[in-house]
Amino acid sequence: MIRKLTGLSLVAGALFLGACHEDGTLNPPDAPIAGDAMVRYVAMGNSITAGFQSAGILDSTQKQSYAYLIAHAAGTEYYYQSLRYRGCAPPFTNNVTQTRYTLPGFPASTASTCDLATASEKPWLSNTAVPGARMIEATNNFDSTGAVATSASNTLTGIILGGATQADRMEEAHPTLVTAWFGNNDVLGALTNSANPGNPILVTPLAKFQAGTDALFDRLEATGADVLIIGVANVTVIPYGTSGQVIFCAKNPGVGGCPGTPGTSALPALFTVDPNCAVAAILVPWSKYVPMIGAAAAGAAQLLDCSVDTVVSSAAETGGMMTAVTQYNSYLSTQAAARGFAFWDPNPTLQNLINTGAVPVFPNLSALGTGGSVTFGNYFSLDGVHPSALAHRLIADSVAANLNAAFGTTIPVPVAP
Amino acid sequence: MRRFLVWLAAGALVGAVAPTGLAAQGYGIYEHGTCMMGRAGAGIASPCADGSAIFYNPAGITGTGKGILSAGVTYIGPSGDFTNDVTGVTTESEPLKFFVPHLYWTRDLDQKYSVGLGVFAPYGLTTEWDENTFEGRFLGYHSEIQSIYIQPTFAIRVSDKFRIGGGFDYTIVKVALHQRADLYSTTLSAGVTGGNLGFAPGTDFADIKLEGDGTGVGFNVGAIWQAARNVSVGLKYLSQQEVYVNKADADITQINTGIILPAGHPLLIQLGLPAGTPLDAILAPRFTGTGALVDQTGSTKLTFPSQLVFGLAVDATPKIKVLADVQWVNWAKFETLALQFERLPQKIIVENYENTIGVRVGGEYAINTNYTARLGYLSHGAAAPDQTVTPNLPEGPRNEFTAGLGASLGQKLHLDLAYQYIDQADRRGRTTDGGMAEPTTAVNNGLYTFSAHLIGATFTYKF
Repeated sequence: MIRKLTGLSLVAGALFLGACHEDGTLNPPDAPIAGDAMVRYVAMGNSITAGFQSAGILDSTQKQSYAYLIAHAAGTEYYYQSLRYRGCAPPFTNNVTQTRYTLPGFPASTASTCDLATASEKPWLSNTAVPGARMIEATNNFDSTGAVATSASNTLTGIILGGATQADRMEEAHPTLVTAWFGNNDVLGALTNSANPGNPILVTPLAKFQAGTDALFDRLEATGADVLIIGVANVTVIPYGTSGQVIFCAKNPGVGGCPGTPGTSALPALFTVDPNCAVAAILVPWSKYVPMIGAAAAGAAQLLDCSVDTVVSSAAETGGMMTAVTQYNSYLSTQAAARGFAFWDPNPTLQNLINTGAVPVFPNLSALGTGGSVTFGNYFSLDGVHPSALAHRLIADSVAANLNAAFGTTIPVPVAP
Repeated sequence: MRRFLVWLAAGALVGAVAPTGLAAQGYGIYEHGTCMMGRAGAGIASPCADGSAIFYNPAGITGTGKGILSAGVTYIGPSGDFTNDVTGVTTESEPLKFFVPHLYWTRDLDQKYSVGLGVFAPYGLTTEWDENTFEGRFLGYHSEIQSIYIQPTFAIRVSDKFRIGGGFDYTIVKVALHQRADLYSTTLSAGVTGGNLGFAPGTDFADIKLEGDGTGVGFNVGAIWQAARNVSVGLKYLSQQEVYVNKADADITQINTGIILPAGHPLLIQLGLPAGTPLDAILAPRFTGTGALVDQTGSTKLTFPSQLVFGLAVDATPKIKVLADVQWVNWAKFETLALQFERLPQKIIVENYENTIGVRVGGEYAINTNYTARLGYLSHGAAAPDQTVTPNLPEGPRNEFTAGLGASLGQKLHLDLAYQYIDQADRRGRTTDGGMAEPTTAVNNGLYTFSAHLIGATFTYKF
């Protein structure tokens, strides 16, 4: 019996030892290589931050956004509202014919095509940016104040934010670092207004811009996160609007102080430019004069008359937009400093691209005769407004360098090999 | 006898309303007597003399003379939490305190035959999470199964060394599943979910409470063989039951999202509504008239799997008894939980549980004629596979430790006390189905922890 008991004890002991159960473990994300400040990175903003290009946005362009590039270079979690299939709206594949990206089995895309978002569960939104958002839309989707009593909320406001505001989603993320780039649309809407380019009533009044800024900055400050404010880009120098002076000279080289040799213009003979256009501050949207050039090439005489306000942004209107940009940036930088936020003005970088010719002052029309697109150099997409993938890399490098300098992060620069 | 029936009715009533905790594999419970609890449930080869043999091994009710009536209660204090991998947020389960009663009566008819009646609950569960904040509330924030087994039992002393017994189980079952509905995963139009329209995960828009009851039948049989003067062997089998819960009430309430739709929202475009329209107004018709989310009835089927237990008991010395049991539970029978509704689409929750083996080792030491000390340890694997660890039952392998004391309070009255600690291995699991009909471990998004303290007390009166 003693032997039996010994055997029983051994069996019991073996069972005891064999019954130890291994604990499961948490599987947290890897710590960002760029430092703790990048643990929860949130990018707020408008179309540029969202990844809008060529008058459209879809998952592939969302992944070209500077915010995406920074997050991935920093090795941090990044969640965005991926737009499925063709996007919302699908980007141009040809900006002259207005043809947009499509997929096999899908009908032709239009400017109102929206294939909604991919339903993938996200613990938070890292990129809250909404194309079209002005400063006030950072905290309010239903603004109806000011001379133009309309909200800039749009289909993407709903799809990206699901009924919340950008500030709401930012707070839900419990961010450790936020970049916020608003204000471009507070002037861009005036420039791109088809009925009256440069329409001053569409420039957000400074007081309203300041109120929107204060509302956003209060929310940002309350999070305790590191914050980088990105200044408003000078939309009057982007390729969307071409200087009347430049157009006049392209048509009339060697005339009226224009460089070049008379009679060597590449523009069609039936396309003429009124001398009233020969003013640097007059801006003509490419979407206004390029079709005229096309029509002239096809045999229909066209005159660009820069006294027609529905066609151009007058010098006064352009000056108003430039003043607004200056005032916005002055307020942003002052308030950022007062609250301990970092500030980066993108305009020197943009101006440098113009000065070096990387962003041409006159678009490339060489493909126009063969049904191709008008292009604006390598740094702007086919709408002449939004940065290209290459420009996003440049922006990402600059933003990352500023973050590293301001907050001690170690984001690799350049952010993309 | 009349007094006994009153006691029995009271016990059944209390049992029917008191939620039960987790103390065995899956949604099984094994604490049905304080004496056995002190031994970690080991001892089907030598059940305690408190009538609990009705559950543990019906053959063990023989030899109870003029009769035994025992009544007791087990306090169960569980605690657990879930920590999300990515957010790092830990949510504790709601604090619960359960008092689970048990009641047994047995007596010998003569030297050979014995009868008994027991009320116990071998299957049950209650899990409770915050209905407003817990991220897993869309799978279930309140899950409850109560099964009350009422078992008339008959046993035969076939010989001095061999006894058999068995009973018929009539089972009363109550089930409740409360969950929120997430607009994010809800189909709002053909092929379009709330998530496609930008609504964030965790957008509550409906509260669904499904509650119903049913009955089942089964049996419980066992045998004990006195293999040697100081060695006995036991075998017990509890049959599987399938309980149909028909015409359960599904009470559905709209939860206001508070979302106001901005200009250009696809829903506004589709419905031709102006900016500023409240989302809740758009959803409201679903909760009235012919809407799919009106109060309705539902049905489901629960499986209580069969159990086979083999045990060995050795009287090592006149004062020391050593016991060991091995328990097999046929959890593989719990493959799916199908919920069918009048208007809502059928929902099939894939469970795919796995059979389990549990090992129980216990011992008793007779301090003197009045006091007996007990110790025990048990271990079992998990019934839920890695892909089915959810808020409804965040189950896992466990080590459990027990201690107990038996005391005579006179010639006819006996008191047993016991304590049990349950240490469940931390288990990876999920709080969502990830939009998958049959979720995989890829959906697992965090870690569940669970532990519990149990205290039992049983009074036994010998007639």
